[in-house]
Amino acid sequence: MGQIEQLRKGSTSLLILQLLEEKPMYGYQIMQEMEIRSEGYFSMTAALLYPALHQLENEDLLKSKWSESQGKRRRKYYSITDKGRKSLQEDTALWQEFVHRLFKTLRKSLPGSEEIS
Amino acid sequence: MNKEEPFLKKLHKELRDFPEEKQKEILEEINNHLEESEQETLGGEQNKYEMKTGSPEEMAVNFKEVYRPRRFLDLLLVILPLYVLFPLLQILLPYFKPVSSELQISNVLLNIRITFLISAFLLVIARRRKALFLSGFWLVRTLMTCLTLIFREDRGNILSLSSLPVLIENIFWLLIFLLLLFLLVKAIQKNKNNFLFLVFLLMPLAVLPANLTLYGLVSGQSVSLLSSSESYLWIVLFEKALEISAYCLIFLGTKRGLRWAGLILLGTGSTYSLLKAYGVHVFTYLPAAFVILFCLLDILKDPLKQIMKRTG
Repeated sequence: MGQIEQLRKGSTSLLILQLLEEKPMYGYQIMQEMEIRSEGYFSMTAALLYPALHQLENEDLLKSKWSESQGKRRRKYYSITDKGRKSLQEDTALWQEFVHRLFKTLRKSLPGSEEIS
Repeated sequence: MNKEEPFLKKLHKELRDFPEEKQKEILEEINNHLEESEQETLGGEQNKYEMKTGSPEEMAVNFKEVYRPRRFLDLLLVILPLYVLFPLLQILLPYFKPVSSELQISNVLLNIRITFLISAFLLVIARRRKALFLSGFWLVRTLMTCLTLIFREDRGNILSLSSLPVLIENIFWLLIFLLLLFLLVKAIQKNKNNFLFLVFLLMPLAVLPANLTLYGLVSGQSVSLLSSSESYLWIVLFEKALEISAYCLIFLGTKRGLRWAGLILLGTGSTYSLLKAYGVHVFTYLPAAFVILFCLLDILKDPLKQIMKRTG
């Protein structure tokens, strides 16, 4: 697996939690939303997404509920838990720190931020 | 849900080890996904699924990572108690004399009770880990230890009214036994289509009568085929090595074929020392034959269903 792919895989949980922090979604919807927002950069296959959703649910970061609506197929909606929100905050801070330190070490400025000496 | 859909069919096959409820849930969710993504096909049927969905094999591997994590820990939770803890208990048994005297029970009974407690504790751990095979393993062993406690020779009539404390104790163990039996029946019912799990679960119960029968048949023989007790020791060690290898295949194997191979090895290993000590006998091969039969049924199950469907 290439470096970029490893990074993408490592950010899967963060991306899923962020999307579900805004509103509950079902699997296909999560995939669509991720692709639209990232302009195709984060394009996850179902083979990765659904096991990741189940794993997050096992860790109590998400919870799921099957929706029942007349005449329509039932969908499994995922929503974030309090533990998930906490994890999202911590992971976001970690990633921000990581990116900041990385660029500082490389002595490059981040787009839209001050020059780092 | 269209179970005939190729992707779902393959996925269903890959997830056979999973509990039936979990299989249904995953398949329904993925079926919904496939139906929604039908609008965005990009060419042939194979392309449609592979590009946006990934392969069913890849999906199954990822689900197995989620629901069978730390398989090595499952293996340790079998091997360490069986081959380290319980033999250690046997060695330390003479030192339990003061404790057993205090409790006014024999050393053997104390040993069985400790074994039961350890087995029950490991069963609880296995259920918390949601580890199907590990739960099944300790469920059967706890049940068999409970049976040993109930039907010990020195117990006499288990419902005898001669001593109230003994009667209360007997009733207590009977209730525990019934609870364990209920859990066993529930496990069999829930996984009735998973032959691999059923054979693994029921093998000790199948091996036990075979062993007892064999002992009964050969107990009259005054001469063992082995030249010395030392050679018997090496044979027992080899038997244990076979069993450990079998458990490694069963718990660590990701392919169904490997796990079946492990079960066949376990069936062979469980009576190996008897085979070497008393020669070839039909009951020596009974456990392995039992496993091979169910392995063949497992392989032929789907093709047979197809044939029966076509012939109506």
